[in-house]
Amino acid sequence: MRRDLRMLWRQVRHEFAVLRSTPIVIILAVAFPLAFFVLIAAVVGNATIDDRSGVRVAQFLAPAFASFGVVMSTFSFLGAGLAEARALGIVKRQNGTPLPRWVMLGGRMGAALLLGLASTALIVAVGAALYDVQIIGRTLLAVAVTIVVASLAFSALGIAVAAVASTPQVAQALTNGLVIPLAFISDIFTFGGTGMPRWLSSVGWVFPLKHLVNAIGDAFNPFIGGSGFAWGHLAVIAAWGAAGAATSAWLLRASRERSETRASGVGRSRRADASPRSAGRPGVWALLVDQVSHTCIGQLREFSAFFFSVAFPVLLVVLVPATAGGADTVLDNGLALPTFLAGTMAIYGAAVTGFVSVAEGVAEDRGRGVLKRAHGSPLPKWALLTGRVAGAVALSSVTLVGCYAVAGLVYRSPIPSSLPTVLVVLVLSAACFAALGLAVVSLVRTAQSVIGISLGTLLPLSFISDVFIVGADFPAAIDRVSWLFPLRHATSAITDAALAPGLGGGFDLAHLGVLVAWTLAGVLVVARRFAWEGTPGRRRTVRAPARPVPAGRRGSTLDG
Amino acid sequence: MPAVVVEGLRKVYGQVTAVDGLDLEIETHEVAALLGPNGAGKTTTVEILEGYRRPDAGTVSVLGMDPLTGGRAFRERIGIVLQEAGFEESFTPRELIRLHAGYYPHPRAVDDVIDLVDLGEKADTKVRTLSGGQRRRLDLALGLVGDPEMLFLDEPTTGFDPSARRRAWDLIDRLRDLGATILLTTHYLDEAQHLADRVVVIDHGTVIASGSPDELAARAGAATVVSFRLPDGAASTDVPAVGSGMRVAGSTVEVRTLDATRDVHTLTGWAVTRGLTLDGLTLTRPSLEDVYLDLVGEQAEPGGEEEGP
Repeated sequence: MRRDLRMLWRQVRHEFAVLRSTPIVIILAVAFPLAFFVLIAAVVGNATIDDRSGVRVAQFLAPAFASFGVVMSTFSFLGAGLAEARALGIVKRQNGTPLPRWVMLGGRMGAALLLGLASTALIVAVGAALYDVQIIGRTLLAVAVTIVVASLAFSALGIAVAAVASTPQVAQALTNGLVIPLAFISDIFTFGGTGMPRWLSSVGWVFPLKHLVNAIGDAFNPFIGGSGFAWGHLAVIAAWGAAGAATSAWLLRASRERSETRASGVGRSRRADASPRSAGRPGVWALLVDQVSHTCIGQLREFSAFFFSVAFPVLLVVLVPATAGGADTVLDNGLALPTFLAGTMAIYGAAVTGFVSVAEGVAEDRGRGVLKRAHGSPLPKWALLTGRVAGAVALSSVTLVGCYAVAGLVYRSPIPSSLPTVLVVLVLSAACFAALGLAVVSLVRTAQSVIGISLGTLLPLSFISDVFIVGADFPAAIDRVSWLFPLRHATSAITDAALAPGLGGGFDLAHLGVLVAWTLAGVLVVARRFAWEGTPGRRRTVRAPARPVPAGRRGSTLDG
Repeated sequence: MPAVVVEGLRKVYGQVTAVDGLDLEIETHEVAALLGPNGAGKTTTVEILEGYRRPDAGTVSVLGMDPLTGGRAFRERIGIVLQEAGFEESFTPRELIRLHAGYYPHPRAVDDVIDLVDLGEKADTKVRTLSGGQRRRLDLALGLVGDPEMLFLDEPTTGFDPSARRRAWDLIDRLRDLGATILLTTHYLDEAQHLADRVVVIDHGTVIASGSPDELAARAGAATVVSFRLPDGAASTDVPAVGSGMRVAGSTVEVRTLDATRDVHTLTGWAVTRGLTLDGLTLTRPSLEDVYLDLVGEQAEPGGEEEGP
């Protein structure tokens, strides 16, 4: 038993080292909740609730986002990470070793627990330092116990998701697709729960996340006495964990027997395949149309890309008004909340599509050598890259249609009368984000760094760029910074367009000018620096034999 | 007119000279095989011919064009099967072949290519479900779809099972019959022997031998190879020194000799007097493999493939 425990500890350390070197995990589990916390604390204001005790609003935000960190670290990380490890054959290899299965899974759960604790500690520490969040000594034990129980429970649920999902993409989409909507109905983003229909609030109580948020929230609430143990909440969380563990055990046993699923009938044969295409060098249009449709199909088939760039923004158009004040809310600028969101979410979708998903896809293709092969074919570089940008524009237009459609269907929000302007703004913005995404690809080497940079800049910028909320009070410096980047100009331009009364109005040349300037900057970087192969690494690989470290590190990041 | 002319080619990566004054000429419609140990400079040479890398010195002409400046017109006439390149996993082989067909002025029919590489059953399933050998065949399909005049195959059958390799050989034979010039690199001597009109052995970035497989084998002269298993209890140093060099691989001893009658007599006499049996005693004409091993030495390469980044 002691040997097994030592093995478990070694496995935990190994998994923790793996995930520490995986930027996307750190971003999603640590940086993402922390950024949300800091930004929302800045938005909602750091108002004092109780003068006598000095308790501020952040006192209630910190536990909510700490809970979010725990869920992202355990449920999302384990679900996606384990599915990925299985896809790469790492699980299969480990199954062939004497490593017991419970140690393999336990190692991952332990690492996830450490990550969740780190994320929580960071949020609380930042809260204490910046927003006077009070740490209450008598409930510390309860907080720790709650986090450990919740980590184990959410880990078990994450493993169940990994067992269900056929590919890592599906697992990623499933975990995030569950966590983010749940967060909205679990008192994380909707602190105070203003305007949320009662039934939605009751639905939240079915799931463990709301119980976790409230258990930790109560322990941080200085107006509630006692040791801080919320036994009722803990029981619900533990029950979900037990259900998750049982499901995982059953599914993993079943999956051992499962043979490779066979996808079929995806891209059927066409009559044209039987004979050679008519002779002659393909024209510009033919090349471009092929590249655009190839880009769109590829994005739509990558489950997580589709989810984050198309489905998620559309979902937010429905969710945000439902949770934050309802459809009748009219913003300071005179726009109804759903109409406002339909526009800014379309912009946000365009940013995720071009700057994150398409860029990541190109970087991955480069890493795999797909681009090298394309380079050996007659396909010109401009056709490939323009096709990617145009594909991003096409997908973003789908998102735009989706956003306005659900805003209209669910909230009866009218389609703006200056629709042509809205479309022009969207096309320009989408092209701008895609060009900048390709610029990032041109400057850094791996797909992981690309996604680290793109997500790491897009998410914080979203909060200060009038994407989710308009007219928030930021320090002047942050406000100035936000105007440097294209995102705020894009959202402002589309909001202005939506406000314009007539057909063809609402053009704001200043905003559009900034977008064009950023696009040109992106194009310039791509033109000068884009390479079909990961050339920045060329020199390093030659010297590599003397230093085996980079190769080893690269190998281990695959594990995450 | 030769399809490929290379003179004095040189390529340096940092302190490693990958290609060092290489000369090469490949006739039109010829199948040439580049042989050599890992790190000999095969892939670097081929990638320069394909236009991927810029040579540091020397001249290169492929189909009468400079691969570096030939651009799209050049790439419309060649086909490349890289040693290692991935696919977009969420697409099917048919979709990828169709996409690539769209790049070329005179592509083969998509269905023909699928049949050629024998991917019919898997043509409409996602790439991520393909086995290693099936992926390699898809690789081959993407190299063929443009109906190239010149085809580069970098280790085309690595990872194939024996019957898949036979089928790939048949395919390459058929392509040759259709008039393509083919340059392939390989580790398999039987592959070179079977497919190549001409074998070019390179090591340390330079050509050390070239000729048809039979010509190369003949370089060993009329020599005969005597081989047998080392008897239990005998060390290789005990074996009498005969012939023109002895090679020991595991428990198998090979002796190259110009006077087989006398040397076999010496060996069997030695064994009989010591009461030993020479199991597996055979006499063979030297193969391409023998010549190759003579040329590049037998020691395993430390460090493996170090060429292309």
